[in-house]
Amino acid sequence: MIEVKNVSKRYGSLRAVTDVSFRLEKGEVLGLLGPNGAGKTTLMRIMTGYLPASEGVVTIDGRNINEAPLAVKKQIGYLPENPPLYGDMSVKSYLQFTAEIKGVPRSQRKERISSVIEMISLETVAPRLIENLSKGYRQRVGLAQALIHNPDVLVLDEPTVGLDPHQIIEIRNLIKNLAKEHTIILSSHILPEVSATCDRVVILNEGKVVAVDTQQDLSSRIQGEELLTVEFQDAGEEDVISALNGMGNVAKSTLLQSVGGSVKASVSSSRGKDIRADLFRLAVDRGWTMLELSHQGLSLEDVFLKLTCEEAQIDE
Amino acid sequence: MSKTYFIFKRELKSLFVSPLAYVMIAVFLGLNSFFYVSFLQEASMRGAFGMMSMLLIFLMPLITMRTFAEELKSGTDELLMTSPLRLTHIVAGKYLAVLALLLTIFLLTGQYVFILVKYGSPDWGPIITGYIGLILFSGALASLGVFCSSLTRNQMVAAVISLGAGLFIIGIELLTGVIHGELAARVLETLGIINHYADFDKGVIDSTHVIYYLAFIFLFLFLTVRRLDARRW
Repeated sequence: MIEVKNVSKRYGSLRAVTDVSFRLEKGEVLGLLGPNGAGKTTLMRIMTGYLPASEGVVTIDGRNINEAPLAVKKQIGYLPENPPLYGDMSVKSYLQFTAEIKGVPRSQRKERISSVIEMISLETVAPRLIENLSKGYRQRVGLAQALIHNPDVLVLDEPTVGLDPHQIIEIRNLIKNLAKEHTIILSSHILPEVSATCDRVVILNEGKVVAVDTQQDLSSRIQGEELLTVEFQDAGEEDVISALNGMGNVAKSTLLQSVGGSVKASVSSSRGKDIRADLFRLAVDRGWTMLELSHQGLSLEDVFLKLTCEEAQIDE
Repeated sequence: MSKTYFIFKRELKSLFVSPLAYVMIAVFLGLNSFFYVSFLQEASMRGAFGMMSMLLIFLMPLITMRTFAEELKSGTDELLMTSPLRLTHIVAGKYLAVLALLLTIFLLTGQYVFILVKYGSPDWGPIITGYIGLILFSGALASLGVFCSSLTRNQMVAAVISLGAGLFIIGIELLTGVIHGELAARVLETLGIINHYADFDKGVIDSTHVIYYLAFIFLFLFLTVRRLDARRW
């Protein structure tokens, strides 16, 4: 359906996107995940024809967006990170305008507009001026604009950013519903966002693809290695660290703090192993009192760091 | 064609939704009427046309400054550029909306003609050619303003550039004082935007002048399209 092939983008000497390739089949939901500045927006702008790629091609159903821009753009609905709204228009006249310029035939415009208004629950704000709407509604109007011509492909740049939790759940459900009929690419820098909605995830960092994974693989990759915080009383710093490192299934342990005979350390376990019981037994054997044993999990930042580090090691 | 019309329609609506259009019309007509009455000596529009063209030099940057700068600033250009439209549709639609606003203003100056007809017997020739000249002249200034608006996302910057560029092209003839030679003088005289206006005021339509203005308009609209395309790279 959509193929991104060896796409690079340079702004002067700055490389925003470097040699990115992936494919997307019809009906799939793909998440672009990456920290701010990873090149997600640039990549989406290239896919929607807003920016040309410096190298590489994007094709939709085998057609290159630079060679047949009008035909391909008709197939794409795009919600930029900052919804492209005209504040001086009412929601309804804005949707009328977008239906016109996106080539919805005159006979279908009225019906498309009302069905999109209903789908996104915009009935109550339809006659209001866009500049008077809340952030959540603006985002929804932006989404309505992307859907108005019933495109095959939806490209959504950070669709839930800046929304409150209630609105986030609404938008997520909407995306899940849309996934039945559309191929969707969405970007986010929030991991749960992507895991809640996407079948497959492309992780970007500094403009490069760091990992392409299905959702399960990604979760196990992230959760496989557990990070625990443990605090013992009546123990010596070096004793604790050497004892922890001596345990089986411990990947790494580091001293966090040591105050008045109580030692706090973080321990990461090997992939898929639960070492909490072992830690308890260790404390009993050594006669230490366990003050804390907590599960930290890996933050997204850690995942990025980890994945980018892995990549760097391979490069060497 | 219909795509140009969609852009035109939206642009015109947004011009008339903001108070800017009305303030502009009020100031333009107010000042014009004031000068018109002050200088009225004969049953002709010559003084009025001169006054209008001078006012337009200063008002045009304010009318055109938002055309592209506002889209670039608010990010709505992303909607236009990712819709199945060509840049020529967008530029033509926006330009025509500015022209429509100008025509509205000129239509309202018809009151002067009405007064002339009521209390005198003016010569119709110069009035009609005067209006044609005024439309071409203001159309040229508008294309310059639209181009300047595509250069920046800051409306004030766009207005200042287009005022500067407008005054330069009006005063370009003064360069004959610096660059000597008959050829240079003729070239500079031909480039000056005001020179081409004089004949219209006298009741003459010379195709040279019409071609000059049309070429001017085409050039700057073309440059606007090129500029918007180049922004992407």
